[in-house]
Amino acid sequence: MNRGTGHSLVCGLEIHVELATRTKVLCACPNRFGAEPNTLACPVCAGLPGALPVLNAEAVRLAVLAGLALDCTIRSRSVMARKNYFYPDMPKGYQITQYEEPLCVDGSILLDDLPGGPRRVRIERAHLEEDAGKLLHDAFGTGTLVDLNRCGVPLLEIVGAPDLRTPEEARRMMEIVRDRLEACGVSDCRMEEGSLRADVNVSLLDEATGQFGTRVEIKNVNSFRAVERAVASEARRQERILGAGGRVVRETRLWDDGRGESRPMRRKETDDDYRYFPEPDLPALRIGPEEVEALRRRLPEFPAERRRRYRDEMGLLDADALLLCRPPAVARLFESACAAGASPRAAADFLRVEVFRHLNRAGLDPADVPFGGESLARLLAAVGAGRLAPVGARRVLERMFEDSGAAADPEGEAERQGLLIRSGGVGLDDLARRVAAAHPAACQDLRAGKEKAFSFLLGQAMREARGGADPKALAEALRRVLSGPGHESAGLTGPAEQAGGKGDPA
Amino acid sequence: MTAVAAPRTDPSYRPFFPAVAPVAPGCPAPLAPDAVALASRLRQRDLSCEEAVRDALERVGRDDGQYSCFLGLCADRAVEKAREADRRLSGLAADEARHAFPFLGVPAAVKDNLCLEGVRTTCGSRMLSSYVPPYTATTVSRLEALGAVVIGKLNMDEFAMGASSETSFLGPVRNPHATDRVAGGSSGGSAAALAAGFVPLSLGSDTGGSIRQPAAFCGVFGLKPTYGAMSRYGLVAYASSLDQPGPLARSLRDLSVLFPGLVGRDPRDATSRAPSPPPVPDAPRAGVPEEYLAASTHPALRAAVSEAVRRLEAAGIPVLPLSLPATRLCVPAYYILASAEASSNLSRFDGVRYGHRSAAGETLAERCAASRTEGFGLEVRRRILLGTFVLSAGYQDQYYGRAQKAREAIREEFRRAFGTVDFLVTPATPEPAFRIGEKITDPIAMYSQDICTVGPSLAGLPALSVPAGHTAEGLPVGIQLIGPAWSEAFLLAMAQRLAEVPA
Ligand SMILES: [Zn+2]
Repeated sequence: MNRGTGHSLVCGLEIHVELATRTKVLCACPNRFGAEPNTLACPVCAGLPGALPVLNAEAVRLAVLAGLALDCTIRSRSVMARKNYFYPDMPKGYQITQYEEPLCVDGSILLDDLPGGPRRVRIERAHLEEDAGKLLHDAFGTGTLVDLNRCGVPLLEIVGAPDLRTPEEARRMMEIVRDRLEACGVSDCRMEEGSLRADVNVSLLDEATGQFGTRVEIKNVNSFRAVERAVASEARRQERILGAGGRVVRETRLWDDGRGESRPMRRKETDDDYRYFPEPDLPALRIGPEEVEALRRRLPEFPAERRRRYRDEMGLLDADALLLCRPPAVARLFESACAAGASPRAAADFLRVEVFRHLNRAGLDPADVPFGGESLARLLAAVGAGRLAPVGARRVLERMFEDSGAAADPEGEAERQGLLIRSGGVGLDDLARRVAAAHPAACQDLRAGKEKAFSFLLGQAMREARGGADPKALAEALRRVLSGPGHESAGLTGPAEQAGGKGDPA
Repeated sequence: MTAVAAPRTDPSYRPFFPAVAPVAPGCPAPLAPDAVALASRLRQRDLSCEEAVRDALERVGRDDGQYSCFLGLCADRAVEKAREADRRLSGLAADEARHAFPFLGVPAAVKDNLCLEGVRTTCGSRMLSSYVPPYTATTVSRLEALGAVVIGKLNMDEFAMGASSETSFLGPVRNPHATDRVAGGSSGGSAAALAAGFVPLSLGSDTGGSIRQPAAFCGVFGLKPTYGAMSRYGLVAYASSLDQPGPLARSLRDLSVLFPGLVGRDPRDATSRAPSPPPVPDAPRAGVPEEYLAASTHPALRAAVSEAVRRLEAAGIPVLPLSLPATRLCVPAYYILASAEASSNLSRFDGVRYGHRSAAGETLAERCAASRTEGFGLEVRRRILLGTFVLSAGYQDQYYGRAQKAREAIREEFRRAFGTVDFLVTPATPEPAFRIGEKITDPIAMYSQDICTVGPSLAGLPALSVPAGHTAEGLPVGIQLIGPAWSEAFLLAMAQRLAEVPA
């Protein structure tokens, strides 16, 4: 990012991901977000004297899976370590993490969708650690209190190499990491709930001398957009300082997304001395190659590949492919609908327009959709066959969210609601006759050559049909009835409906 | 094998290798010589469990003023548990009871760094003077599952740091064999309570000798198990990679019955393991490492080892001299590693999260500093400072790193030795119990007390402290049997052989 100052941006991300284990990483407490303070804590979480940590095997498996998703090498032996420092939200006085011998090393990811073409960036390491508690400042008017619920939530810290050169790349890296980890189910990766967090390291490289500048760390960057903005803002800030002949100070800054700027948090003249040493309460972590390979086989297709497949093999527009390739619940719904016979484009259209609209309006998450793609395929089949109009399909969809019966048999639901299109012939003619009979004045106007009256009559007929009729077929029926003889007496015709039903298969 | 040690007819030494150690001279005779005998009396309904427990509580109440073995009693809880035991006994055939609950109704006590739910657990420190844990240590639960009734918490060096039980904030433990002498440490209360006849069984913890040395000073048996044999869950940590709870008793058979009930993998302690004893050798061979003999500054200790050698040979067990040169690294490596881990383990005690909170200080940092200065005694503060230093950037390689390497060398040396012999015989201590106050102001003198015991701790090996007689003044002396990992039962059997040889 050379802006004519002779400096280019050097940026690296440290990404923390909360792993979606059932229990915490070092004890048996549930790993859950949003519970009442201190209801998810035990002697281990609280660091009670004598309590001991025990490493959760599920957390290790998820960490390995995540490492594999980031193309890391999984080390057959890794070591948990103590990072000693004081902070009131950390009851033991140290954090259990990994230091010299992390679990995952030497990964990389490909950043696509960038104006300058795809770029590969390195992941130095990814290691397993425990989260700290949370300070609640004056939440109860009693000064600062500590909530231990988050203590011991399993975290994977992903340390990216300083390979990023633009704010867009930083954002893209976050997105790709999110895409991949979300796809393998190791985390729900919600930045707004803090299950995915980033610390951003920014420095400027003097292009003339090849000298790296002082690195500044920015914390509290809580959205993808904030990552991009924080990097850009910090680069500008450092350029301004250097441009004015100043010196960038080594420090940690706090991002204020509302104001779009960072502010100093603490100066770092020297490295903090965390006095790391191997955690004596936990034996070295050993993972055999068979176990790693078994997990590698569990790696899913990632959104980037999936998007390509949706576009190139299933014929979706790239925009739709992008929209449906993640989160996993959406991709699953789409693919199972296609597998059950829906046309990919119709399924994509319906998901994009109707399902997403409903989710947004109801404030639901894609994972909350209570039915599968088969239900969707059945619904779309009815639409495709002309038995259900889009407006009717929307109504049935709404019912499908509320009623598993409706979800199991969308067409039956349409029928119960009277939404099935009375296809062609008698049914529609009957309706047209009824409308004509109800509005003699309009019929008069139409015969007098006032075409506007037809629009009115069609509108009335559509209303009568409550969305259960194909507008084109209904217009034709209306023309037929109005131009035919004796239409004035319409509506009195008997129920000679439904063709078919004759000719039993013998 | 006679080249091993000094002549066994040293005038300062009176040999005595009991299978059941008597209480200290002058102490009232216990209800039974050991826990197995008492349990048997209780099963025969010769007396009730409640009577036995009340008897123990009364003895402590009457006589512990002289020794300060106990930091606290849980009398109500103990009597309740004793009544439970009586009810249980009345519903069981004696044989069933012996198998399911070998120590049903037998009073016992545990070191005050082992958590017992609802009972104050101070670690001998002002810092935790009001701490009541909401849970029970696995090891204590296992002791109770064998039927034993915990009557109270035993005095100790503060946070188990010491070799004399003088650093307890409630004052030193006095040796029942000579009350002007220390009981040893850090499990001084655990050993002295047996010697005084208060209880027949106790639990201690051993980090660098904290069970074995007080057992030797008080003339009782003390077993430091293989690292990982007994769960550390609920043992307030001093040096996690070395800490190991262990039993003390007045008889070998008590330990033989008790130990298997205390060991086993605990899902709450990731360093605990299921026992995997090596095959018992058909023709065992013993070794006597010369460095341990050389470390003994009192002739009675060397003479005790000579007497043990004579007895082993009389029992047909060959004894070889051998050399463990890495022994000289043991004490420095131990103090670096143990202090490093302690500095981290004890960082939570700052008056904010846990522990004594000072009224002094304006800022958080000042308040913490004041709380730690007031809450911790001198020795604990010394080790926290030492440990913080040896882990600091720029010093870590030079101290902590080198100590880790030394530990590996010590481990390797023991491994090699156990390729040649099946167990080692050493003095348990360099000298018998010293006078209270004699070494407390001289940390180096105090630390060098650990020379005989820290080796097995660093190597994670089991070691048994065995009473081996007395000095001319009547102070107990003890020897130590060290074996390869999981050889506890074998070591107990070897000690039994020593006791069975006619004098
Ligand atoms: Zn917990």
